[in-house]
Amino acid sequence: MRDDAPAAAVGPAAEGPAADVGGESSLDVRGVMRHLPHRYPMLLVDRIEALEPGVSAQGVKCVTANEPFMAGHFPDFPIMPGVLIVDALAQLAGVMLRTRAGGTVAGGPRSDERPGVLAAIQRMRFFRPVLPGDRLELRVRLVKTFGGVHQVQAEARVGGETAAAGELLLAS
Amino acid sequence: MEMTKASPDAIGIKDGLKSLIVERLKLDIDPQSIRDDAPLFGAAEGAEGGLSLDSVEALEIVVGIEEKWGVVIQDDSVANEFYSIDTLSALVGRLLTTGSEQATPEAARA
Repeated sequence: MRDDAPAAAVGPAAEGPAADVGGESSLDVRGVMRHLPHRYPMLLVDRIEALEPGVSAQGVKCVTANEPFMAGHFPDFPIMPGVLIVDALAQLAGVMLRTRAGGTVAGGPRSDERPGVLAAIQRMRFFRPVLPGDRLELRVRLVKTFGGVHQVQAEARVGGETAAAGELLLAS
Repeated sequence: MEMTKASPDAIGIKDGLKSLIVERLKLDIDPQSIRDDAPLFGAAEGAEGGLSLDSVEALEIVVGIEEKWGVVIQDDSVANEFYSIDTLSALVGRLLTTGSEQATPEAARA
């Protein structure tokens, strides 16, 4: 939180108040790792392109043929498991929640505490396969928080087409 | 300022809450078996008629109440009214008269 940083004015175009995560409104993978404990082979967010803490976030997961899960899922037909798409969305939601001021998930940025845990996956649907070469565009938006449970609308797209969409509940 | 004490539709709200809870949480019980004063949440020991609901189910009830009655429940501002059918129906009754504003506790206790 640097008041003197000019970065706040350079947020994503036409968005409301720019995210203030130590002056960051986007995060490279090292920035993502500051907010998540996940590491290889379970770090499923490569980059965060827009972040409004406690409100919404957009991120990217680039899928390759070298993903470890592709070896077994499936040997003759590499395809990203749907549950890992869900986890990528949950990880992005974790950053969105952790970075908000007074966030209840882990009490603010750069914490080493655990992120929110998945409490429920609701009405999640999968619309198209996610394959090596796909750039998975992740979007999450906080709908409601009550009693330490966060309701998050989540969608993953490839090339603008919805690959998966549904609702996640994350608990502190 | 009308007081909500024994408001005419209090019974309707309670019945609505019971069926909402049973339907949204897919409980295999008769809505009318839920006692008005039994604790809904947590593992209240020896709570006859209690449901031992958890925080995820609480959120589900919040969403259900908002959809059913068109009110807005702010995060945690009313957490201690999430206790029983009695306290929840008082909350809903108050939200219906005050809109989505955070209501004063006095209104509920009038």
